[in-house]
Amino acid sequence: MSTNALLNDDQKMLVEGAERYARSVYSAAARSAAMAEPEGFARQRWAEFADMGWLGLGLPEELGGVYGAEEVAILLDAIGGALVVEPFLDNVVLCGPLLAAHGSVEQRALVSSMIKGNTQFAFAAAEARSRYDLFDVATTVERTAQGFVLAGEKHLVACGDSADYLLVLARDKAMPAANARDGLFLLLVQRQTSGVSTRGYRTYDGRRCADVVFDKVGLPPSAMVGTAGAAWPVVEAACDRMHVALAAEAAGVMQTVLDMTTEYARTRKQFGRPIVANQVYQHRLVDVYVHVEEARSLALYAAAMLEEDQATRARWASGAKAYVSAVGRKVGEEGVQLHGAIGMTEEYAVGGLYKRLAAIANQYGDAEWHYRRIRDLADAQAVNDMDEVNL
Amino acid sequence: MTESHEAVDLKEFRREVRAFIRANLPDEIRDKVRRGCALKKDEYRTWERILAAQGWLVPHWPKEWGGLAWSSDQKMVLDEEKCINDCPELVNFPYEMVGPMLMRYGSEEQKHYYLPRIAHVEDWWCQGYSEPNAGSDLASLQTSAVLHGDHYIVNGSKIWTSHAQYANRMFALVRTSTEGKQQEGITFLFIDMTAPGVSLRPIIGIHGWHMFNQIFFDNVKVPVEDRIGNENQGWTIAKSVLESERLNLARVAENHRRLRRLQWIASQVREGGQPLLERDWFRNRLGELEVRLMALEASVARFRQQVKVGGRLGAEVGRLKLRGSQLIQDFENLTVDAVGPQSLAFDPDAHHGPAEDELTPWYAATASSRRFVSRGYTIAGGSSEVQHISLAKQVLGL
Repeated sequence: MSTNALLNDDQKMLVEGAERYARSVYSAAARSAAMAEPEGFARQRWAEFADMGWLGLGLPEELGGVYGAEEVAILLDAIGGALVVEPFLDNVVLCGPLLAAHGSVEQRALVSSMIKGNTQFAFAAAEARSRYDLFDVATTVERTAQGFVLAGEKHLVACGDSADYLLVLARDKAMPAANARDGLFLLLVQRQTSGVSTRGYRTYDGRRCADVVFDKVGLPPSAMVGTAGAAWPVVEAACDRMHVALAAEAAGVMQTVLDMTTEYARTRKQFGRPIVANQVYQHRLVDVYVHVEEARSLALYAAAMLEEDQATRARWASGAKAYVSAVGRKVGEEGVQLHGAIGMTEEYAVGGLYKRLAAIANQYGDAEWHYRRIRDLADAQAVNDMDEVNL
Repeated sequence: MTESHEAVDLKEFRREVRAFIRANLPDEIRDKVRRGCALKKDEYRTWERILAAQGWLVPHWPKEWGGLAWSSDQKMVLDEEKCINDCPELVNFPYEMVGPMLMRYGSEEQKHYYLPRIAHVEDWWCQGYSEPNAGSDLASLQTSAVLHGDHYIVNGSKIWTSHAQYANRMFALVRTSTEGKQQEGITFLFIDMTAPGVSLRPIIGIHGWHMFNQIFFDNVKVPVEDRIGNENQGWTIAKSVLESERLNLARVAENHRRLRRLQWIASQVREGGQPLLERDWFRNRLGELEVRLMALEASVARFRQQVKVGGRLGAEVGRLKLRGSQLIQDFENLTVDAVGPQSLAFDPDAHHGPAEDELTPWYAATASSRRFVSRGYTIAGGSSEVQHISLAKQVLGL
């Protein structure tokens, strides 16, 4: 496709490697086998990700990483259609860069270990009350002579019952205003610590999550990540990386829906001719195509904006995520509709693609949540001045 | 002024361009554009002459024809800044189409006569493409030109011709052969709109303004030296010109201008004791449009990058026209919804500029009309349906 014209040689190799891997290794059967593992994913696949260098993408070279945010987006776009269930995003996009930028020497060493495939992190921020406002947490951290005591309950933690470490967002117990953006702490907690209990379950898109309870868990001072009480901007930046990554992944899933649906419409015959001979199919496939290309354009552009100032970064990250939340799900629905009844089956692949797009729509902010965030960012500028322009 | 292709700091360049526009665009013209009023011929000409004096009417032309040989990035910045700073939306045919086409296909005499006239704002050009029975299917056009000695005799009719009431020149596609494929019997002519046999019927748009025209040709004599290129080469010429500025069809700056205007209006209009800009329903709808505008911007950036690394733009660019035009319409509709019931009041006087004793606030007076005009964006220049057909065939291979 035209996309490849814009890739440099390294990026082309990354894409070709990912496509080859998806074809030869990460088949539908391999995915089913991974989902059947007790942890909800395959350790063998994770080791292969490490061998291919994927786990270091966008991470600092001194920790064993390589390339930047653009390559993360390019890989996720290329591999999106394979619907990998391993916790790539949580480790490589969310926790890894956060700990690399703000962690202690020991915490950064764990990132190196993650890049090698030996350590996994899970991001334990959201609670049932939070919906998409991750600062709205009731889990508390109390400062004691020995360090910290953590108490609360986290919800929908991806791979929360298998990760080695949980990166927990908690509120200073001395500053109990429940939905304030200040007074927040990040703590890196070994999952196998006394007082931590998990209850794992599946999500409808084939992933594994857990609810995690912290029952007055005592932690050493070294558990803290970054600056006391100032976790929110760090979490927000990490979430923006996640927004972009989810958009890139969604673009790849949407592309696969388009390819698969186009192929099906060419071969499926009704009324004596391929269904794609009907103009209504052609035009709806064109609309899907435009959605795919717009999602991809936004994801790549937003990836390039991740290192810009906070307002620019946030605006584009939210733009990309809002777009795939609204339009990605719509593309999945079109994939099912244009296939007809076969699209409704568990067995046929388009359903799995649709479910992933539907899941992405309700993760890390739905479309309306991001529209509001974009408007909040605009309000912060002087919008009532007709002379103000932001091109 | 900056001339080099490379190494222009675009941010600095943008500041320079913006400062010039703000210092030189006459206040009364800017105010009318901001209000969405119709402009008079001399207002367009005034602004064109200001630009021409600065060299910015045709800065993208080569220096030998009076241009500054600007890069496409510089030209894009100028176009964006003109748009978002409320400059008149010029009738750009002479600068973007006729000039480049002459440079490529014109004779030496034609170039030396017409190019300086265009650069110095001597003529007003209108486009003679569509006909009553040739809209989306332009190649079926029937206006005939028959060679008689050193003249063509032109008969037929063109329609939907914007601003033809101001024009003294038309660039037109006419039929010179009915043999073979339709596309191969079309010729490109320049027609003198003041010649005997040319007549004009105004067409009032659904918004109540004189918008289009129908032009009739009754045995109009056109000198053979006003033919561009060879006889029956017209389709090829027209197509090559269409391809040159397709990235502009995303209308990114035009959408930005509407976004900014709408934000301003929403900060003035109140609902439930709050500025509309703070109402949830409005914020959601505006946010959605903003995200679609970002998708267009990011798409254009990707296409521009593709051109920079030496790639060719194919039919896939059609998606920009498709989405850019829909977005214009949705911004216009949301503007009307922001104004609310006041948008129903119809004040023809307000369409021509500020007046005493206005019926409604200034931003309300033209909101509905602008919205009605915007329906044309998905019809003109290849309708949305034609865009779908071409994307299906040429990009998806269906």
